[in-house]
Amino acid sequence: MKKLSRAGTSALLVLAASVLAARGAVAQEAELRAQVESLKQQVDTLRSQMSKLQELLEKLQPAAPAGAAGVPAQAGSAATQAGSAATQAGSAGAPGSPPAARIDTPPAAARGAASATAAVPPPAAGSTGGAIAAAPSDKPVEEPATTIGGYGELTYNNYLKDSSRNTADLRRFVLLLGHRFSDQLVFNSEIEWEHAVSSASDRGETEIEQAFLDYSFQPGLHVKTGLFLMPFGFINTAHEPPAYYGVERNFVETLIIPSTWREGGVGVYGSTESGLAWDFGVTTGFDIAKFDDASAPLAGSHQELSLAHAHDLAGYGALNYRGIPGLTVGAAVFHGNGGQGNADFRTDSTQPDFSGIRAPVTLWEGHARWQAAGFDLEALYARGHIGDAGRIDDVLAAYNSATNSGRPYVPAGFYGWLVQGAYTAWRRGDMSITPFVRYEQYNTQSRMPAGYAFDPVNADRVATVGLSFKPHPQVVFKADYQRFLENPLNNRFNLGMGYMF
Amino acid sequence: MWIPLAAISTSAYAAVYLSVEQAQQAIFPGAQFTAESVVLDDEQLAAIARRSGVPAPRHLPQVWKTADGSVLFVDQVIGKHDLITYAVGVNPDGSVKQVEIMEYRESYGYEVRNAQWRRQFVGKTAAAPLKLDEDIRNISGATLSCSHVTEGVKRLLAFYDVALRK
Repeated sequence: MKKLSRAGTSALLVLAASVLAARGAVAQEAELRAQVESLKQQVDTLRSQMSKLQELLEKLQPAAPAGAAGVPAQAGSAATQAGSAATQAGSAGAPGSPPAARIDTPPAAARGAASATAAVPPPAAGSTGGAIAAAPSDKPVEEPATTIGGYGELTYNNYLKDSSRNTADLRRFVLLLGHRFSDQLVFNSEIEWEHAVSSASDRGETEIEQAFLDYSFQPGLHVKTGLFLMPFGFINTAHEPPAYYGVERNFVETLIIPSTWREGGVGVYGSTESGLAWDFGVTTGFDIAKFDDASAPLAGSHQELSLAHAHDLAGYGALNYRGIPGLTVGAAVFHGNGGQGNADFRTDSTQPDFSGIRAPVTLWEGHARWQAAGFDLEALYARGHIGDAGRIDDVLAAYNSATNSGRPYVPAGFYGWLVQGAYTAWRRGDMSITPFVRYEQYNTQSRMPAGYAFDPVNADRVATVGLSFKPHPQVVFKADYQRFLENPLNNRFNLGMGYMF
Repeated sequence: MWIPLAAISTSAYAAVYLSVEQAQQAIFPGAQFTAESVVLDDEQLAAIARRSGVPAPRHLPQVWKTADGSVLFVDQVIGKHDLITYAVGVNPDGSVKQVEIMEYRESYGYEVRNAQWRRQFVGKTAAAPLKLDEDIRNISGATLSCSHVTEGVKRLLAFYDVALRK
């Protein structure tokens, strides 16, 4: 075998190297070419995107002045800044549009505006039939907002055994005024007018039912301070007419739990993702010296944060479990002295003298509700105690005979319970018809101190049957018949109309 | 028409349970997202309103896609007076993967956050009734929030059907 000469080997090596180099070069070139191609494509894509954006911008440009003409929603969404939905005050982006009013349109109106601007071709001048761009920018709600809501009800009661008692009444007219200071701090309030006319000679009342600040430390943890609703039962915290069945609120939740029951104080509340909600606080309490109604022991002694005596504060706690969709189970307890340091007597010695009497008031309740497959079933039990009732009533008895008055006597115990079932029998779109039945039993004088008689008029068993017709989820027409098994003279037929927004 | 735009993250507020990134990872862990900007014409908007039975919103949701064709929506509905921000993940077959509440600020009705309540939406498609008290159970005391979130999910599924399904 011929050995390759050194020169030959070198030549071979050089050849191999140059081939490799050449291939490398070719490969590099090919790679470069490929890269150039890809870059070209990207530039083309970018160019076409640019021209589309240009088109879009041209479409939107003429829309801006139209925004000023009173369709701030449209202008807001047209600008690439996301104006918000209802609670946005002052959506930016549309030159010339007037600063949005600080008072918001209520959600209903806002939704109306939403469908008006989205479903109908917007009146933007020069636009070609209205494309709506998604707003890709940051979260819409940035600024604080003031909101107005409300609810109300009208009632008609027809007493079947005595038509002279028939009554028609604008039972409630309520405004809910709220303001959001920041993402964490909000103010909620509720103003109510009862019976339409409130004056010294009319039986109506004007009251502030809620006025509190609510601060959220973190998701699921809030503190509230001010005048707020006590978390007892169902109706006290959800007393808008479309939220409960029957023209009249049930007796257990008016005579035993004194809806609408509110106190002033501080509460911490929160919920977990697993469905446990809790609410604890310290608040003002009752003033037993104000007790004026044996048929409603706590409603007669409540202070409503109106120059409330605060010698004795109270504590409350409530737990609710809603971990299983459709099910609510909960309980609450309240305890606080009602003696208030004999404050009423000290400012007015013509009043009974309750000195030395603490009068501890305790109220507790348990409830359960199941809503599924059109059914809405609930059960509730509530019980209250007034300690020192015997001593209080002794003072009242002496006072009554000394002054020839008829002050009612305080009970030692009172209770009530109810069961209720409703079924949505008919639905069409937003409309629904829901018949219901309810049975309740209560006794506001279930335990009287020794020597003090109870009045049978303060205990009853009531059966209610009726229905709710909702032309819209937030509007209700109600009709029902109530049979008072112990006091049948009160049997009545009721009609009602209610709304909330 | 797809015009990709950069996703813009929301700033953190105390009332925010989940940021956009957290919602993305909660629903599609480990996935990569590309933001999509969707332009709808009147016909599509009307189709969405018709199919869902819910009026068209003022603002369309933010949309992200993943590599496998899943979609993440971030949308808002009214609770009672405040907005609720929520995220819905949709599988490539058009069914709901998961619903997360990102922001809830009202004092009442926060029970929409309950995991068990939100789980009711898993697997729902645009064909499902998605009606409160029908196939979605209500939470007493949170009816408005539950009903609006349910409507929102229904509308998002119709949106998916009309504008995103290929």
